[in-house]
Amino acid sequence: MTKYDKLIDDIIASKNFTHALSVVTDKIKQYPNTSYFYALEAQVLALSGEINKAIDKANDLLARFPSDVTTLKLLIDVYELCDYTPKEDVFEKVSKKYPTFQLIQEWLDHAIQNFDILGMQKATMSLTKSVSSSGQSDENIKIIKLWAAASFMLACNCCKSQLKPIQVKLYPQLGLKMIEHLSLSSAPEVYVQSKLLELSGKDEENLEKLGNFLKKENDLELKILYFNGLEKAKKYDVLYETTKHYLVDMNEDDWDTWKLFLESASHSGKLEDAISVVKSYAVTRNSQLALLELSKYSEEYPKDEYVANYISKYGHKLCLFPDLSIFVKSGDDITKILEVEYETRDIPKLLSGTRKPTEADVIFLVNYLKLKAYTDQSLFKSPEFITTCCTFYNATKPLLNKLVEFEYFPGFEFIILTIQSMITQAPALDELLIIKLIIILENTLEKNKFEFHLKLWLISLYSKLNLFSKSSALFDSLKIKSIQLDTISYPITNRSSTVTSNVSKLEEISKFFNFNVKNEVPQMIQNCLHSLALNKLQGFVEFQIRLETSFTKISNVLELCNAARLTNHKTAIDDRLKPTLRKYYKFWHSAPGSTDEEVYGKINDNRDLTTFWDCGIHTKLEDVDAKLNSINPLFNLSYLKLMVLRELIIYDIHYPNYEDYKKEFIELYESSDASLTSIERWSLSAIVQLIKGETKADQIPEAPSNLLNFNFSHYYFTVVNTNKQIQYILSNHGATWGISGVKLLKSISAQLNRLIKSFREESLELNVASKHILSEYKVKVSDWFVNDPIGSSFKITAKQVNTSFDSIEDANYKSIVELRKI
Amino acid sequence: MTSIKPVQATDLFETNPINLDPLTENFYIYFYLQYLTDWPSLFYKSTSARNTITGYMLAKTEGKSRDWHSHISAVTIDPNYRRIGLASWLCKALESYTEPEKPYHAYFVDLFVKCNNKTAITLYEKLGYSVFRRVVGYYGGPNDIPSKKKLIDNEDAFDMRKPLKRDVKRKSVRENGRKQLVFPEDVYF
Repeated sequence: MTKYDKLIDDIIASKNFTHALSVVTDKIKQYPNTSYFYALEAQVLALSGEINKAIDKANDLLARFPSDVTTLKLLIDVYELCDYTPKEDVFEKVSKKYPTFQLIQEWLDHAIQNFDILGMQKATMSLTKSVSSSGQSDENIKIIKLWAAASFMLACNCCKSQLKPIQVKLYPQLGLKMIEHLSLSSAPEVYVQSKLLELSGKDEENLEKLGNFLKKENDLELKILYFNGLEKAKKYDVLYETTKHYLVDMNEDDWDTWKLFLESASHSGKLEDAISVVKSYAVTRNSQLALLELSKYSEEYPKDEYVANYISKYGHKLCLFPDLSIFVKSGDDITKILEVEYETRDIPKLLSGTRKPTEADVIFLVNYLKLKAYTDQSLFKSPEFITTCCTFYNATKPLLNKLVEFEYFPGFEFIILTIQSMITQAPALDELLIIKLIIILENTLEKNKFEFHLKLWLISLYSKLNLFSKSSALFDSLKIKSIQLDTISYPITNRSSTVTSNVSKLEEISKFFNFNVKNEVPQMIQNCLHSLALNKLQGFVEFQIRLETSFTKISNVLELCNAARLTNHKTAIDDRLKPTLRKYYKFWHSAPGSTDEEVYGKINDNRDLTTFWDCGIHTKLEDVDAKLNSINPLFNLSYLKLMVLRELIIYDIHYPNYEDYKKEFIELYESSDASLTSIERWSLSAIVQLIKGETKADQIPEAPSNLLNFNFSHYYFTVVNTNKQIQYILSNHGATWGISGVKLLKSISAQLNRLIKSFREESLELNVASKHILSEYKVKVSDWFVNDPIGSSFKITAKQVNTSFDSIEDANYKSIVELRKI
Repeated sequence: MTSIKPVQATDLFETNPINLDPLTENFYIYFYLQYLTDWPSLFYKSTSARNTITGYMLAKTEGKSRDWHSHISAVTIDPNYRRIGLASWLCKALESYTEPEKPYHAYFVDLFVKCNNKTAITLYEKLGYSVFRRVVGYYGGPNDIPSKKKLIDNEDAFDMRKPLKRDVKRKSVRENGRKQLVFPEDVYF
């Protein structure tokens, strides 16, 4: 905690604040000119709850302008502890008094560490003033000026909503002023200049400078800025000639360039010339799609003909569907085109078994079916669609035996479409259906073992079936790490604390955010500045902000809180988790709000919710999604806020604005936006009633009866967790809720205790009961795969069914073991 | 359709369709960010018309005097966009960025590939690369001791090179590169 005295650190860590204060007082007497101990005194006061005294001490010290960096950082911590905002930023205030290069550099580092863009802007601006007087070289002066210019750009691009209109106007000009006499030689330097010119509305000058640079160096980033600038300025003649130059003379076959080429041709009356360019160009995906793009500008160019042309040329490539789905819309009728190609490729012979499948066949059939389903989504409701998917899969699956290691079999998409269709056609996602889907998917994965969409669907379905160990093993096989922990860990962490006591994944995620992100990213932003990779700076800062304010990061803390409560790990909550949650609460309160494009000032949901759907027709099917979400619904932002407030109401009783927690909690609970399960809603209702001073608790929802459903474990884990919350409140701040509050809590607790006792007694029978249910399912599922017209089309053998049930039974037992731990 | 665009750090949130592939290495954050700070124009992506990432190239420059070259650290493609020449396209783009006098003016491009990855080796040969040397044990585990007497295709790498215009005398390539055996520690610039 401090570099000055480990003894004081230890005393503070042991929470013996009286003793700590006395030791600090002695230190102040011993070293009256050392500012650090005064800051430490304020910190000890803040930690011991003497908020006003702590603020006074901190303000007194700040008024004396301490220049020691450790002291300043400690002062900032004190203000945060006290939930107090000083009139002026600590570093800013002191740096004004002592504008030394070193101190301002520390200010900049601090701003970077805390993703404070406006702080970065002020610090870099101050550096430009101090750099001249500190004897720095011309090269260093240039670097600092470029930093300041880039920081003006950052402020305008990333937190415009926080700037006053005059600042929005002034900052780009100040940025340009910074670099006006500098010789800008590299692409990143010219990038900053270009962005500032754009922000200043100096489009002509911007285009001129970009054009001149591109004559000397073909920089990709600047080329894109130039093209966009020409389009924005409606300089279509220049845009046409320039894009033509890149496409033809430089042979840069780039789709965005083609689009701008055709757009500018249309606006400048050069479509005829453009068509001759397209038609004489080498046959590539882009040039063939350019023909389709033409149909946007003139009816003379028949879209259907070019769609047919594209399918004919690229029907056997997997990119066909994503490429065409830009031009072909849901509801378009392309059946005839598809059927002609179907015949041309001799598919009927393949399906009749008179010829063997090729890789081109399977990819064409995948594209054929995807395009059909995409243009007519009612197909998902048709049982014949499932039969067709199965027929295509069975006709092409001999190719599975020819796969080399790590290669995919594209026919897996027939199965994904089938799964989606089966869910669409079912009235609800019940356990029997989930088991059938799992068996189908497992069978598909067996010979296509690296296909990750299949795994993602299985992970989701196993979770619905309350088989965390299966989801977890599949997840581990994906070798998820680093940033993927932020984007795609949610399929196994969403409410994982209510089905298992295993927190290893939660701890791994926590480590990623609190160690890797915290240590690596600010350092890399500094490297970005020092390397003058200023065209990457905004991306770096936004990257840091999105990680620091990540939805996954917060939900992970909430899950860890639940897990810690279940294991009575009170110190983990008090020392580690509660301060983090309070920080989040303060963050979304102090956040000034931002535009949709800005990542600054809001919680950023980085979860990858698209890869799961990036197969089949590459679109989320709302009906399927709703059914999947009926069990263990994905957390949403309201859920997150509600749960953060719940934890703070339980654990942060000394917060100065504690009443705000209660008020906001009630508002959010009553708005019903949160993606809560019924038992969670009931659990939260206990807190609501406590706050409202009600005396009679709501009836606990009936317990689920089927262990093979996520809600079973979730229900009992939540019940036990709620009881622990109540016990905590009663033991630590029950009296503050008055007699009626205590009475309410005790009556809920008594109810819960009875329920838990009864569950623990019955849990001994869980294994027998679930075996009974499983054997019933097995009979029904086996029968379906043999005798049902649809079920039998999957050609799943009895052995495969048995293997899947053995695996489910094993995982089910592991879930029972977890339940017995609570 | 495909466009080439520069990578920004925030693109790392969007790489799952590529990085969930078992053959694509998922590096730590600092690794990607270092490429962005040190070689900002050599980390770029191919995108679909929906602006999703369909592949990316992660490259750098290194070496001194005649060894000054660009190195392909990773080039990888979304499974939906394979076998349409996208990897070749990204490789050719690298040549066009590092061959001219400004800003890099490299003598050659090189890369490492497992000796048993015949598909990739064929692709690179079609693009004009040839084997310069075989790095014995390059992909071996930390406890494997490489030996020039025991060549293992799954653990050894071919260092493949393609000369650029600046290498007028083609000194960066040689005949019989497959028979030139070196250890990983011999490979440095």
